[in-house]
Amino acid sequence: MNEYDVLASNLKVRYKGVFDFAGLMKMIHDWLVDRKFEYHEIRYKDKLDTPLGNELEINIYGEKKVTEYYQYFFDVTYHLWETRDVQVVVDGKQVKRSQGRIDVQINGRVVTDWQKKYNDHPWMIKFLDGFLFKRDRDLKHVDPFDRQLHNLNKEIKRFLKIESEGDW
Amino acid sequence: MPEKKIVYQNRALSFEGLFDLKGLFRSIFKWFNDRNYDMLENKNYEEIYEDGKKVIFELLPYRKVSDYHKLEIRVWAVFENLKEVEVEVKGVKQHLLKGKASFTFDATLITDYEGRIEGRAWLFFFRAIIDKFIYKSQTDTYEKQLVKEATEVQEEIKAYLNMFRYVV
Repeated sequence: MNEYDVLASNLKVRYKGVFDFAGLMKMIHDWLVDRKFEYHEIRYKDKLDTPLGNELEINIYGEKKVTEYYQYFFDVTYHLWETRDVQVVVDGKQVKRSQGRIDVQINGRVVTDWQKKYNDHPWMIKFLDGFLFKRDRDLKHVDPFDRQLHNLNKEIKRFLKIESEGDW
Repeated sequence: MPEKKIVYQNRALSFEGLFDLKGLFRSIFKWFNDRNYDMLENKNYEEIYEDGKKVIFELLPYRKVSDYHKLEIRVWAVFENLKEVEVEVKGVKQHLLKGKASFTFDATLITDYEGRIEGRAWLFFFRAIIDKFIYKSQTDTYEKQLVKEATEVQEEIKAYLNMFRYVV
């Protein structure tokens, strides 16, 4: 079993202001589920009422078994700090939002031989991943998955109404 | 271990005035997309303060020109004291931003980006010989191409920012 990082480093979006964190989490959850990823929350750390505000750290990942040989993992990390709940008026209605700082980082991995069929044959894995499937892996799996990660990044920026959001 | 050679470093560009940040971002993306660069948006931060917004982004577009050479350009941008302004350009109302913008450009030529030669001393020795005598002309060509493209993206951004200098 081998893991290949899709991106050289995490895609990072950081925002300071008023935002809808529940809506953002739901948007990312729905985005992953719509693309047939299984959603898992592995860490939820909440520090309430610190001197500067609330602090929240959440790690989630999505996994998808694409073929009998390839599996995708989608990692999302949320970090909120100096946050507090505020009431704002949106479209004439009073709603609850969070005011503070948020940092969202996303990354992805492509895993080969997730069923561990070739665990007892390391030379076979080396031959398959190093020569036979190398081009296929890069063109049919890593590159499209890279584009998906950037699309999610774009959706996050659009949701937070960040000025520097681009289409590509 | 990939070897990195910085061929273009810390070239700065500053601007103060009116600009369309979304349009600028999209034109940078389009410029790199047209030249077959893969985009890595490493950072995208936005903070709202009383005297305006602050936006920081770091783009690391790269292009694998061969299985040994990779061109990478880094665009680091900081926008400060951004305030929304509505102006009329040729009878059409546009929402622009007024503030300070500063850009820094770097370009790096990466060889052996797949790390095939790492960990083996005799391969590293042969690689040094090949780099010096066999690949030298190719590497020099890629270096010149990288410097040219880094300069061109700088000119593209300058041209875009100058679009809003004279507004009637």
